[in-house]
Parts: sequence; C-alpha cells; structure tokens
Amino acid sequence: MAVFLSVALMLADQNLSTTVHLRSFLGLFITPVQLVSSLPAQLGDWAEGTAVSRTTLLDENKRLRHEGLILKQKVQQMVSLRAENNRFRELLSASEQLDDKVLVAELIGVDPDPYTHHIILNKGSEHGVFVGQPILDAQGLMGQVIDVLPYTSRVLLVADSNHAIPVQVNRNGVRAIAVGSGKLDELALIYVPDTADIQEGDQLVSSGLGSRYPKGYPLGEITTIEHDPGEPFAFVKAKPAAYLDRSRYVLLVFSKASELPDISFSVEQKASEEAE
Amino acid sequence: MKAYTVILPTFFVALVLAIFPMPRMLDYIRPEWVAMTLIFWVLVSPSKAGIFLGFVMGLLVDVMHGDVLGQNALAMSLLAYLCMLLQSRMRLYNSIQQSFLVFVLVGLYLLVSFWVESIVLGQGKMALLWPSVGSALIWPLWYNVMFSVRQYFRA
Repeated sequence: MAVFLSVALMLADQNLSTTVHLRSFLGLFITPVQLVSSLPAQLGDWAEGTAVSRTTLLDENKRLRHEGLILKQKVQQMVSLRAENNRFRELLSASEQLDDKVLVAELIGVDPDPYTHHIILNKGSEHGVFVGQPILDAQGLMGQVIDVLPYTSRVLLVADSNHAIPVQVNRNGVRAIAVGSGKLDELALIYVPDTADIQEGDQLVSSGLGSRYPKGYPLGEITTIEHDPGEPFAFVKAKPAAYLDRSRYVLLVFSKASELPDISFSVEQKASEEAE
Repeated sequence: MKAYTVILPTFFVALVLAIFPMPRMLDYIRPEWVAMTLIFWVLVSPSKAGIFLGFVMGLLVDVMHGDVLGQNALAMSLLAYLCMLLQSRMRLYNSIQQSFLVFVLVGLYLLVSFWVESIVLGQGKMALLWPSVGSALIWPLWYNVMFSVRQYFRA
C-alpha cells in the first residue's frame, strides 16, 4: 500500500503542481526542526553580542556612524546622478532603469549532504519568496531559491555543480556561462573560445540573459586561463565574489518584473525621502 | 496513544540530528538518524511503529532535504517492512550482530533512495556506504539511549 502511495506521490510531484500544498503543509512540521538545529549558532551569536565590551561597542558605534555619514553623502549624490542618468536614457529613448527591491534574510542552515551546496534561509512563501528568486550577499551573487516552504526556503548556491549562470566580462562585455564546480571557491566558464578576450583578474557580472538573474551584479573574478591546443575551448576558472561559506545575512532580490510584497525594504524610497 | 507522545519526540530529535551542522569530514559518515530511530521502534514495539509511521517520517525527510516527495517515504516504508520481518530474530542478537544488521538495513534504505533519485534526476548524488558504516558504529549507543528513554517514560 505504502509503496503504491509513494510511487503515486513521486509521479504527482513530478507532473502536477498541486503537491505544493502538501509540501508546504509538511513544511510546517519541518520548520521547528530547522530552527532548533540552528539554535547553537544563534546562541553563539547572542553570546558574542552580549559579552562584547563597552569600549568595543562605542568604537564600533563611532565607526558605523562615520560609515553611515559617508554613505548618506553618497546617496545624495546618487539621487542627482540617477536623475541625470534617466535624462540621458530618455535622450537615448531607452527604458528607465529601476532599482531592484530587496529583503534581508538570515541563513539558518546548510544542507548536510556533502555533494550539494544548498543553504536554508529563514524567509519563506509567507514573506513573498518565490522559486527562482536570486540571492545576493554584500559582495555579489550567491545563488537562487529552488524550494519554498511557508517560513523557510532552500537556496542553490552558484558553486553547486547543478548550477549555471550567464555572465559577462565587465571590461568588454564578452559573454560566457559560469557553471559551479562543486567547490565553494571555484566556478568554471564553459564554451569560451581560445580567441576570446578574457584575462586573469577580469570581473564577471551577471548578464541578465536567461531572465532569471538581474543584470549587472558581480559574480566573481577570473583566476586562471589555460589554452590547450588539443581542446576546442579554453579552460577558464573564476572565484566567486560572494562569501559562499561565510555570509550569514543575505539579500533576496525582487526584480521589477516580479511581484512585490509590502514588507520589502525599498532603497529607492529611502533615498528619495532623504533627499526631500 | 500514550506511546506516541514518546515516539514522535524521539523522531523530532532524530530529524534535528539529521540536519545538525557538523564538520565537513563528519558529514560523509553522518548516521541516518531517522532510519535508525525507525528501526529501534519497530524492534521494540512492532504493534505501535510500522510501515505507516515509516511512510510519514519518510515524507518529512523528503520535505526537509528538498527531495522529490515519496523518495524517502518509499525507502522508509520498505525499511519498516524489512524490520518487521526481521524483528523477532533481531531481538535475540547481541549488539555487534545487531550493528551488522543495521549496516545492511540502512544500506538497503540508502540504495532504494538512491535508485529513486537517479531515476528522477538522472544522476544520484549521495553516498551509500559511509552513512551505513556511521549508522552501524553509532547503533549500540543510540539503541541504549533510546532504550533508557523508553524505560523512563514507560512507553
């Protein structure tokens, strides 16, 4: 009986979309498990935050205030620059480019399977997260959402060997595809002709082709290029810009094409409020 | 009914242990906690724990690992069935013999799971042998811990 039920479920999960409800219902039982398993790390964070000395806090406060001031000044410039940029775009009759909205999420788990690179975030469908949503950290692109539960979601990192992303070299716009190598600190560029103008140290940014990742976010830096006369393509390796194994807080990006929930934090609104 | 107030919390602990962060090296031999807990309960109270319990726990594992729904449910149901066949013999074994049997059972569980995964994804990505070894090594300890839990709550 159970065998038939399982096989039926597997077929349904492959071919129908209704199992999403079952999945999110079962997810309600799994969320506490995920939260409990992330408790020690959270406790460590809390202890670190509580046990820190007063002078350290004061120093940090001062530094952050300075940083905030500098950033504010930059934002002020940004407003006028953006307006200028938009005017130029209008002159070129190009479409206006809007900022992407983001939502901050916290990493609460890493998949124990050593052959994949998945992470678990503490935001789910209740917060408007959807499958295919891009994830950033402060340095660059991290990956995309592949599974959404009501209060948590699962992210496939760019370094996973099942992941590929269309990229461009920032210097000259040469396009390529970056696939994960299975190692957290390495990506491989495939189908790069031997004659392509790519050098070590070139910055890679997402090209926006494939319409999954937004355009122009940094992905990594070229580390090595090998030309083998016997092979049709060059071997190009890159190092991810995002701290795939260290980032604790990540950004969920709502591109302008996607639905926007009320709770998302809008950089653009903040900037315009400050300018007024 | 009272037995389930003990059985379900032990499965909760097993699920937490199954995704608890560990050093990368230990990840390769991470014991299959949920499967081991199922084996234990089928062994000591086959009237309470059976194929249905295995099926439900397997579903939860599916959702937790993001696998296709039914993959672990199928493997867990088969595991529970095998345990029910073997339980009257297994109870008489000493702990080393039991460990060996757990190695085989967890290995079969992983094999079924691996088959399903390779059919669904076109490639299986999990290891079969090392988690079974880990489970067999930890089994005597886990069995005793679970046994004293069961005695304590008289489940």
